[in-house]
Amino acid sequence: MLAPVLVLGIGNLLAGDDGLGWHAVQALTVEAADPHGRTLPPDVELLDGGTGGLALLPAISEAGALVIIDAVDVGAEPGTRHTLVGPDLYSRLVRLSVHQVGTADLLAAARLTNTLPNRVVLLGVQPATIATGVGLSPAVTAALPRLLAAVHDWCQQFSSGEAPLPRPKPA
Amino acid sequence: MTRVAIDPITRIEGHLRVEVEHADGTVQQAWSTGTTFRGIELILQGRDPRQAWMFAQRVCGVCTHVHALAAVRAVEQALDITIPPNARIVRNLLSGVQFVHDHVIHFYHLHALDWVDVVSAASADPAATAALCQQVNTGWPHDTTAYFTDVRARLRTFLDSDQLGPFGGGYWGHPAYLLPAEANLLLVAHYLEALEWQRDIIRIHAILGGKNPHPQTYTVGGMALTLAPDAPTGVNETALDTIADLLATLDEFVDRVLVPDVALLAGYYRDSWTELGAGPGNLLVYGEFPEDDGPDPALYLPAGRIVDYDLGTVLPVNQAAIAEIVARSWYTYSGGDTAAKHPSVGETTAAYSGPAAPYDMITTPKYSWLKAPRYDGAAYEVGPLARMAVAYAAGMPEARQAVDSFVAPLGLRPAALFSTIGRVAARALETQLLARRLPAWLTDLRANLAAGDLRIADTTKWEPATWPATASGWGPTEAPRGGLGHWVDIVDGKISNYQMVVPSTWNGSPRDADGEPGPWELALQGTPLVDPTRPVEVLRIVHSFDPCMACAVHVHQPERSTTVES
Repeated sequence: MLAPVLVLGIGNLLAGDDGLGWHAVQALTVEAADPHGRTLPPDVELLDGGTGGLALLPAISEAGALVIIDAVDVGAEPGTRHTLVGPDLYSRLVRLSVHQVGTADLLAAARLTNTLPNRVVLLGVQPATIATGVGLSPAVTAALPRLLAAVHDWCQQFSSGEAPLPRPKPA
Repeated sequence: MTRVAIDPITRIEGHLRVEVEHADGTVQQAWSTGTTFRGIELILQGRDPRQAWMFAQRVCGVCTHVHALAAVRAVEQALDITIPPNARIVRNLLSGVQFVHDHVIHFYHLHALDWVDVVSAASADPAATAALCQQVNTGWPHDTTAYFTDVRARLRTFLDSDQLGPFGGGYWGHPAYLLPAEANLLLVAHYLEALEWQRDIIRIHAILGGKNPHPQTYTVGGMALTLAPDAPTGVNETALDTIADLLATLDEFVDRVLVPDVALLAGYYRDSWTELGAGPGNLLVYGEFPEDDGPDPALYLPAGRIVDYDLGTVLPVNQAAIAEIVARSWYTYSGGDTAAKHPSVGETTAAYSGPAAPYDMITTPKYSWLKAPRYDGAAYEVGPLARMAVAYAAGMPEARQAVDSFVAPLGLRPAALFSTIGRVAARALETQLLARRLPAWLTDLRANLAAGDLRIADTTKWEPATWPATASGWGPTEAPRGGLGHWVDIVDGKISNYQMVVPSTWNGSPRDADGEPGPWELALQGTPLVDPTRPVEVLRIVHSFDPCMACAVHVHQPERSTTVES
């Protein structure tokens, strides 16, 4: 069985730009359903991870590669994209991610249980506000198209090009 | 007198922070602060009440499903909707699994390292650890010297890397850590095993919830899934078999690993920690897991109140006696800030009057974004300790047996539940009760299906045209970390007011108009601090309540300032 490329959107829908992961996965889902939209490789799976923390371990452990979408605070202009890949990701994540505890702990837990895929990238965007509210700020909204393009690029790079064998789906 | 700030961070419910003032090595007073305005209530105003649960479940990332449950219950109560038996059972299954999963994660991954020294574990003798495991975790297969040699090697590799992850920033070597090295290694091994174990258990949520996290199958009136034993999709025989297999693995881990590990810990920390952190002694439980379908169903974990540490009397719960006070919180109330407002007439009008960031300490009269919930004017603790104590006092046989057989070998009485270790033990014992109960609910569901009852939702009142012009309801439930209530008002088909009183608001409440502290604030008073620059004792007490957060600690002293994340 080929392991899928998991696109994991992380964030709280109710916390402004913190909902970036949800909005990105939603946009990719809509695009995938549109016959005229860009298509992702067949072995890509999209997951709205919300603020799921350790509950996301099953999905990560079944993935062959991981594309994480998350809000990261690098003190840059709102909407600035920031990509973390490889060793850089683990050493800097704790400090950078708005979800510092959750995402860093999640990846550490995957590493502790030897289930973290070798190929991992985190595509981050600097938030303007994470105050309570539904919807992205204009700056982060403006960054979304290029973020989605980057998701496509990384998925192409990580993809085997083949559809994974169907797995038994509950429900 | 020195004031120390414990500034825990959470992105889930907002940040929480504790400041303690200590003198002569003992905490004199404590202040609990929610440092982030939530305002979820305002997001819900004007929305379709049938969608409230979708937003509400996002308020908490740890227990996504309990907020969905409270939200649909509140709307169902407002609209006088009775859900079918199958929906009740599926909700019990989802909620029960959430409890077991959440409690195990809490003990091993969010709390154990307050008691377990990871650095000491890395120096433990694997043979001694294996011997301890065989004695403590009788019958558990991972009990060999080779196994613990491997775990120790994995741990050393992790500690030698510069990516400590969850093991970074602990108070390793602190004199308040009392476990011998082999007990530390045993619990670290089970920390790792629990990570793998939880991964499988939570699959039940993906089956019954459509996805995990953030289940998609709730609906006002029942559940939005298809019960179809013979169909190729939906909740069919294959799915039910998968759930049965997963449930069958629950109690072995809980019986052989979790509960004995907590007992081991309790033995070493018995001398002070079965007394410290007692809390207010007032306990509030809404109750959960309806066992029948009447308007006032029997609940597996009963509702009730305990007052003033008295395990001899269970008092009833009347939600009309609940009120929230903002005298010390960053809100204003129409009619004055000393008023106590029931959540059904609750107001969420933000009025920050704290210090400008960045600040060291919050010394303003108002000091929290959490309101102060009170029952008949008194602060109450919610959570596993409350549930097990009420069940015990109510005479529930399983609860009495579980509590008695836990405290007796330690030479303690059931009143030891009112303590930090008592809170940890209550959580483990509740896990045990639910791990044993869950298969029975699945059996009930299969019996209904076998009898041809496939009903899963009552949609007769789905259309707003069938609703009254105005309606009000409340949705009580128990989250793993305590009683949770949602209150909704519906006018002309839209939400006109929505209020949530969440467990961490009860437990992390600030003072009220009379200056009476909340449960954490009370629990921390009188706690000795061995080393105030590394206040692991404060973490132990606050974490024992299972607040909706992970935390960072900032300790400010006149001569030195340290920041530790944990």
